[in-house]
Amino acid sequence: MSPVLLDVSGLTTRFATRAGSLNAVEDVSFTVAEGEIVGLVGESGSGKSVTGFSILGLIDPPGRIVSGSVKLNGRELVGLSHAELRSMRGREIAMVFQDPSATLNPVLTIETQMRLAIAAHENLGDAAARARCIEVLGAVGIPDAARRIEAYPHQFSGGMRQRVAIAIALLNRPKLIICDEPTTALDVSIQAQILTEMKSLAARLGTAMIWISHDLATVSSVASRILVMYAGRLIEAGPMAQVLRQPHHPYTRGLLGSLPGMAPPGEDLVQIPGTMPSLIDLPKGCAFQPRCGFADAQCATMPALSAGAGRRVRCHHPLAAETVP
Amino acid sequence: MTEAATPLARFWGEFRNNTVAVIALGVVIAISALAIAAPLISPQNPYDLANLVLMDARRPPGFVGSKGFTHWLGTDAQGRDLLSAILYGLRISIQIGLIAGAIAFALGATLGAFAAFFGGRIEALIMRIIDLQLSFPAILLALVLAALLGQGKWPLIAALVTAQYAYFARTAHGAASAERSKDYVDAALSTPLAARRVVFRHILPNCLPPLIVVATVQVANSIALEATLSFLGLGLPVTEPSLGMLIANGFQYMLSGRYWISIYPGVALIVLIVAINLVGDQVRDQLNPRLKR
Amino acid sequence: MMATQPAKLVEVEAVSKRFTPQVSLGDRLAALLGSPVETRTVHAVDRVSFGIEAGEVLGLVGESGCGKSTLGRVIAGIHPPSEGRASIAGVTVMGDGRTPLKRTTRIQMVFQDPFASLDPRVRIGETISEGPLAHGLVTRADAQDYVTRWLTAVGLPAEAAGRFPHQFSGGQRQRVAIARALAMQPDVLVCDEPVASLDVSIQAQIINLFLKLRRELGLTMLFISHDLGVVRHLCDRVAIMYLGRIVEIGPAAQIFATPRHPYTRALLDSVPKLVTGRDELVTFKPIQGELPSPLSPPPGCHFHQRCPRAEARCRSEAPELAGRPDAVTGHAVACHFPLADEA
Repeated sequence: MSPVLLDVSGLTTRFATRAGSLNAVEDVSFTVAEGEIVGLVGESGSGKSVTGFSILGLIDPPGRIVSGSVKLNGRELVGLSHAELRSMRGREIAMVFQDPSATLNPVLTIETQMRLAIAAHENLGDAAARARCIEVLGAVGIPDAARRIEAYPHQFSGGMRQRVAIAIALLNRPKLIICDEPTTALDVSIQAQILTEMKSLAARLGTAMIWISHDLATVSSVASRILVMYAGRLIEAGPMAQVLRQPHHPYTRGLLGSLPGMAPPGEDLVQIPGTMPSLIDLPKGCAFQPRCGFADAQCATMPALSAGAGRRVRCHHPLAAETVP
Repeated sequence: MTEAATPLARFWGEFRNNTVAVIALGVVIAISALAIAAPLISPQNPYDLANLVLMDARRPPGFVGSKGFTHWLGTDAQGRDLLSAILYGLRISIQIGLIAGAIAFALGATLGAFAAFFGGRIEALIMRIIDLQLSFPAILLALVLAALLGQGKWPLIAALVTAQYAYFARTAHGAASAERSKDYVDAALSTPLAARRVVFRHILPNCLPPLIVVATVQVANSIALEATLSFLGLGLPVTEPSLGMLIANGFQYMLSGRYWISIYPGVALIVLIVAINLVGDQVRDQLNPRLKR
Repeated sequence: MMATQPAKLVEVEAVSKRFTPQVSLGDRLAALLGSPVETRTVHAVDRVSFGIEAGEVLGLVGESGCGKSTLGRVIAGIHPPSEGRASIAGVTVMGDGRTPLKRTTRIQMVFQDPFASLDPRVRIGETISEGPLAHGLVTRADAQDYVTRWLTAVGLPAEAAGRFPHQFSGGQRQRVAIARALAMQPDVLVCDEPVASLDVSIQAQIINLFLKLRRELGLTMLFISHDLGVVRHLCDRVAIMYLGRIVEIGPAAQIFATPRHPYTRALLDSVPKLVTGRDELVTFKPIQGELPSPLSPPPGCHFHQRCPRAEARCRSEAPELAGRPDAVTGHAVACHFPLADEA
């Protein structure tokens, strides 16, 4: 097992809204080893993106991290000043967003933007900086990088823009990249290209990744471990193939059953009834309880996330628990 | 399914936070109430010639007239009690401002929304006419029209509407063009619903926020414009003096020290217009999504 | 000579749709003075023909920009076609003339984004009843019961009628949008990515709703989607679209098992699959390159620049979607060098 790179424990991020305060992320703990790709899965409102932002210290008022710790290589990130966070971002942890225009400035050329990203952390000569930019652009699959580097973002297609955003994330060779739905807005054929390239890049550079997505199939094709979130909490974690083959949490099982490939064509899918509860008005105890077929009186108390380095589940009645070794 | 407060209650909840705007709203309501109640509360009916005593003309504020009551704001050249004249004048000014604003709103919003809905040549034609009209100063347009149509309430309103509907039309056109491309309009077209229903039931209600903002500004503008026209002698007949005419009447006495004949109607006009604009500013801040946090 | 085929419920005949942006006054003046004006015509849909049988669900699949949504909107009577004709039971959907109007209520549409497709200022009850009232399908006196009936059919409580769209979640709004379309009692429903913007668990609920409605009402559907998994689950037949043209059409099972067009094959290979094997190696065979611009589609077969099988002929001659090579299944492919059945 590789040494631990990122250690998140008891992370809670709260937002004050007009209707009341809510915990978008509550008591989330997990680790990421060096070079490991972890998939973070959940539906909208599950807190998966806020978890990613919290790790990077990108939570702005009315939100704030109220408790917990995020340690990168043993160094605490929660409570760092803005300047310290800025110098850490990009160099040690980078982020790729669903919409590349969140990263790219429309009025600057790709080269200018990439050189600015390098200059923020490192003093490199003109020629060396340009060479690094071209090299990274080539690595993410942009053909004719030496010429294209002088173009503006709007001169690229959506897929190419996302590649540029990924290249900028890779520029300073961070240890960890947080990818927030990076391929969701792209067509399947472009998604397949980018998934393939990112996987091989991560393997080659030894970069760890947290891959945030709502799409189980995409996550399963890149990550080796999976974290499932529901209503702000981590509810299941474990090795990807094991969790998908034999989910312990009823929600994970429901999510898998909801995939169209899981029933023969034309037959009803196993659906989860109801909708995700509002974070302001969570049910007592387990948040999944009102939608769960296994819920009983015990579920009115919040189940603990079972301990252990391998598989973890937050449920009073985990499925097929007896078959777990 | 969440139960939310009515939009109006939420709007008021936010509006309340701006003290200046709340005070301004209070002033607008108070002035409007005084104007509506003018026949009941004013000491004299300034339109009733039998009530006017020429001997009492041009008297300073505080003068006790021959009818036995105090002229708190003095009297004008015809011996009218200025306080009464201002209250009656406000009545006319507000009435004309509102009627002209409402007609300009209805006409402009309808034109702009239909132009955006149909697109193509119809849109190009309507919008070019409106652009052309916007390039003339409103006062010039109103002057020409007032001169052409003669004096009286309705010619004046027609002049004000002509000078102002274009602002509503352009705002409605901008908002409706954005709404036109939304799926709920396509859904109505695929039903299919008649163009009239799509525009009036679906597109226009969704264009209301920017139109309401324009409306508050334009009501204040049409009151000011009406005062200007009346001041220039192109407004209402002398028998129904609006604020503008009161100011005009007193103008010749300014240099002889009888300031009150012009100043007090002027103050009333300015207070009203500033108050409406302050309310309008807050409404704009709340309805403009770009300024929303 | 073949006997004419019995007409299908929906017939799409050589439909093209081009979008030309309005030429501005300045450009027109410049053109008068002899300056060349660039006309940027987008060929969104290029001579597409197909039919849908009564009771059938046809999936229309393609990547963004391939023209599938535009085609759906032409068939649903929102845009008039530039050329060709879409008809339902022999009635042309849209009349021609200077301001084309939709002529029939027998085809209705469900949109992708239920947050945009419902008027935020109109109560659900009115949203559902206004079409039927306008077309005399129901009287004002019966409107309330009518709305309740359709709300129940899509799994919403009757009280929903008095609420506004913002009081509902995405899945519930999509149910409202479906109820609105169904309340017009259409024969055909055009669904444009109706589950794409929904969460996975909600998506399953809506897919199940479609399956139920289809069983109960015998609906004919054109189901537009980029999600091959959803299409495979719901559709009887599938049409694959690439840059404005249909490249392959046939029974769903056959298309997914033995695709004959290289693009279909590549698309199927690009879809991420759920990996549950312990050491399963994930490999994609991505299509090379990107979708060409619909402003200047390549000559010949639109796919030839990205196609591993392309030859000289593909660069000059556009392949026709061959009539009906397979008399039994109607599986047709527009390719000079289709893949052989490997099964």
